[in-house]
Amino acid sequence: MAGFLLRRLALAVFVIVTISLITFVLSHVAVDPAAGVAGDSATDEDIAAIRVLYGFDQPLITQYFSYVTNVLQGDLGRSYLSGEQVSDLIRERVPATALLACLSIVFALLLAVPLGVLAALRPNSALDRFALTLAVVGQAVPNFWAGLLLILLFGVNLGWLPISGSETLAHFVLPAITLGSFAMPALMRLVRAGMIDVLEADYIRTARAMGLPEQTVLFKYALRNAVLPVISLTAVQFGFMLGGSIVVESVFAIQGIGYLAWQSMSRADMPVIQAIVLLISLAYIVLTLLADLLNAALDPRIRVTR
Amino acid sequence: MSNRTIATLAALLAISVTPVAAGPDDNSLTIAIGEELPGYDGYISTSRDGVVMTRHLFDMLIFRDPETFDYEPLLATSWTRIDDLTWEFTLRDGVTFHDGSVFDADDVVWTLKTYADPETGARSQASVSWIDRVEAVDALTVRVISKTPFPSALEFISGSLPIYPSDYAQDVGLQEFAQAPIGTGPYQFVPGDSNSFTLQAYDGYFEGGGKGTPSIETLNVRVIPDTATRIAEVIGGEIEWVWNVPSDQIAQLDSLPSVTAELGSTMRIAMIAMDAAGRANSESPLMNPMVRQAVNHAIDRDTIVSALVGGDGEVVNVPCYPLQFGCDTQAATVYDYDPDLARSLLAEAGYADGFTVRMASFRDRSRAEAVQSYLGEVGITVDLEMLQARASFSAWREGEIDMWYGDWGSFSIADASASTGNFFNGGTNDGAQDAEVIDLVAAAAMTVDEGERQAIYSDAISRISEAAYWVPMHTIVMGYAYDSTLNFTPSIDELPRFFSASWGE
Amino acid sequence: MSAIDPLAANPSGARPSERAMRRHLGFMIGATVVIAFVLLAIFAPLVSPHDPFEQNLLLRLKPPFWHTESQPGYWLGTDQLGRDYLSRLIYGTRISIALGFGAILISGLIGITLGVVAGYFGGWIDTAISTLITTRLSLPVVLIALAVVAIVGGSLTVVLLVIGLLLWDQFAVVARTTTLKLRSAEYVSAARAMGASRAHILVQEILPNIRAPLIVVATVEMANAVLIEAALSFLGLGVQAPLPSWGLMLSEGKNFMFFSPWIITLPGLCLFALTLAINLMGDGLRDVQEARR
Repeated sequence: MAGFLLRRLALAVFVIVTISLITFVLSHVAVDPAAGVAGDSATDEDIAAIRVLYGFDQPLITQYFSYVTNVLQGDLGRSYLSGEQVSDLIRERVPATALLACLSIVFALLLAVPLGVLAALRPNSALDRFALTLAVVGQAVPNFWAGLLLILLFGVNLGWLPISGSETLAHFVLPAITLGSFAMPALMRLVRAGMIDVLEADYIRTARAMGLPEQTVLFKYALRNAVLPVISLTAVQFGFMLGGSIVVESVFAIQGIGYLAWQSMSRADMPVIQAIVLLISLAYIVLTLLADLLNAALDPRIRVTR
Repeated sequence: MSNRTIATLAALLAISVTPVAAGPDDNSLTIAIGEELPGYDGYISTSRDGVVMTRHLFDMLIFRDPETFDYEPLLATSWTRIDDLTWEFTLRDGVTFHDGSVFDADDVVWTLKTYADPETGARSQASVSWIDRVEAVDALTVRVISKTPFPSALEFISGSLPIYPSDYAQDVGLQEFAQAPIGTGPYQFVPGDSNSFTLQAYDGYFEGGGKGTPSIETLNVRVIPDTATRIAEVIGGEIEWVWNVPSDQIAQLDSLPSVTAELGSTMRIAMIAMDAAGRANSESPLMNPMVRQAVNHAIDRDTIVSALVGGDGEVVNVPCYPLQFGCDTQAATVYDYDPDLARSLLAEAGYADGFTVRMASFRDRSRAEAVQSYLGEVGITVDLEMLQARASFSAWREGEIDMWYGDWGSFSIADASASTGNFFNGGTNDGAQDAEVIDLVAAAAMTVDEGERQAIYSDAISRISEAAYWVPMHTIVMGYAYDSTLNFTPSIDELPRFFSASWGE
Repeated sequence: MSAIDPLAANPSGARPSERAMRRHLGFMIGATVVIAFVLLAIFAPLVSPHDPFEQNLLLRLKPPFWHTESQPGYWLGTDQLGRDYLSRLIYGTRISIALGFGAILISGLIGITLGVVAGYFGGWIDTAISTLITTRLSLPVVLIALAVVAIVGGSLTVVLLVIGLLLWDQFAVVARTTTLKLRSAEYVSAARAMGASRAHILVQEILPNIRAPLIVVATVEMANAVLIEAALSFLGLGVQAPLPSWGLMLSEGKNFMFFSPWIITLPGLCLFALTLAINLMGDGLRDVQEARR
């Protein structure tokens, strides 16, 4: 296990370095960072001065190392647009995105687990077909479209829920449904498949044969085992949500990371974009790492084949 | 998840769903604007929303009534012209800034002097560059002396020169001042997060000024960049006032019982400025006057106005707002919609196969796409970039784009110096850089005799339109939508005055 | 159309039968809808009643035929510039279909090559490629695509390339694991013993036999590509006006959705239908493959 852990950690570090390189090159080669720092009304001389002052005239590799040094010290640079520290901008936005992702995953699980279990209990029943159809449909609905329709229906026509912003928990209901319904199908399928497998397993048959109450069999033995792989998928889906929140946050004007990313992209505010891509990738990596470790802990075979 | 967690969540949800007191109940007004403001320094933050906030946070020396256009007292109680160059202002006694400090002549002198210095970087140099000296005669008397006879001095003094507290501003520096502004205005600033802030009625606001005394206690400002979301919020009732509503939504919005929607005339003109000087591309086809004339002939402005502008919007043929002084509509060459002529002009200029240009715009996507389609008809491919106002304006000023479908509100100043003078003076807004026109515009700004000024502007307008540096498009009609119980009147100068608004049936 | 019944073209024995596919309702529905969209895309100029780019500002925002104020000749109404909505939706099919197929072509080529090479050669090559796959899996796709398009500038080609270059991971994962299993299979060893070249083994022996699971991956990724393009265009960082991308149509129409809701429901429905159909096909293929085991 220790060897696997080490290998997996080394890989994670390698990946994050690669990603930092990619974003660095994108933001220093594709656009002129000096012009970005100089801002709106800068003259050519201003830009030239800034190029020297910020070290943009240094070889890229030197710049990359000083960038990495800064990042490791928590300095993500300043926004070209507002001049604020990127780390402050991001810190301000993290709670909204984290809350949105958590609520979305809760919504997805609240739908996926009961539906998956019920479907598994009676495969091919009407309920099972309904659940599977819901999964197929849920996966095909573009979430920005769903968001607009929800705004129209619940925000404008019925006036039940707030439309934009992130002031109260109620503001998160529609966005969480939008984002969560995209993650639900995969989770539901996994719960269903897991339950079907487990219910056919010998120990469940034994438990039933021993005359244990069906409730105990289902919840104490079957669900517990079926749910384990769901946990690691949940971790992965959570990562997807952080990335997918950009669309949902922009539809609902939630002041989160995704919205910040979109705003920064519309104006080529590179330091912010760079930091957000790095941050979300890091979250992805940590979550997949967790998922892998969890899987490995649960299933010793993985440790061997990897 | 335990039952208790669920119960807690449910309780939280129930609390937050219940609306907090808003609107008439606590005498607050929640409005939405489209773009966050970089700061609240009225000399730097010159976007329209920024100008609106300037008028609430600060006062100018005098006030111009939006309906009668008469000058009324504000920080100054009276003003007289001493000679061709000098205006003298008697200041109001007993005015205090939001921090309690007392307003006097030093504040006026410091503010105007500081921003008249080009190094300070006022965004609109036209507003301040005419000032030569500012002198305090005594604690409540100030003289403003212009470099040359300057006929539109009062326009700018009442329109774009807010007065700052000299001590505080010097203490914290202008950068910090822009983030934590203090003025004498009817509302004081309460910081919020990056996408909202609050203006609170200032208890110590002086009486007897042109702005009156504010009725609405709290003004909550939210930034919602997306137009559709802003409209949704106003229908849903969470936002009580928005503007920049597309004109074709007005009639339908107004049919909703909870919303009043109307179109207000403005002094704003829309134009397609072309890169005639070759700033974005030194081989730009647009450097050829025939090509620019072809572009003018290719666009059906009448149809755009009737279908997409609405209200009392009208086609404009001049590089200024027709009611501004000096804006001689008779002097302009008029280009009728004639795509065949456009095509033959392009062929004659050597572009029979067309070419591709980059055009940026911001206010109205439909109008920009309509232009894109008209130009496509004559063989000009337009890569359209819809940006936010500030970004689009910068793209034009920095010479990054070939065409800019923008608009200009002249700081609500009724003189061609604020429009023609701002776009053809050789500065960064000037995509033509025509030396003759630059001279004319400079001469007009220094001429006191009205007849003479008029003649110079007529000459400039005739040259500009003949060379087709712009496609002058149309006046802008501003769409407003607000809670139907709000008493609010749009004004032609596009400066919503929330200090005059109130709740009521 | 190769994507519809590609397995039938495979002459070797181990494959789901054509008949099983025909009996699978979901697959048949999905395949029919996808074929319909492909045909619409190919014959768009023939079936569109109007020029999708021709604007008529006097006929703006006319509602579809089921409304009383609809305009004769404009079945699904007109958009905010008076362009025929039906024609724009039909031409929009071209963008989604071209993008879907184009993207999986690029990503399939990259992913399958990497996966097969990693699975077949193993050793440090496998380690290197697996690391590459992990790196790719750690990249937030939508975010990266948006960032690249924001920097490079949006156009159909850029979006196609970006999506194609990002969505190869599942191809690689599946190709690698299936190749790994086949490497020691009898007929592969036999070919090797008979002195067949590596290239021959990879292309002639391995590839045809890992085809089935890869086609399932292809359907998933195609649906993904269609949705990502729409999302990018919706955010204004994808296909640019005046092209009738469904995502862009949603974005242009959303100001008008309050009083002309069809302007967002119709392109959304098209997107939904196409994605659903592709997913149904993929699910059908998977079901049949699993039933075979």
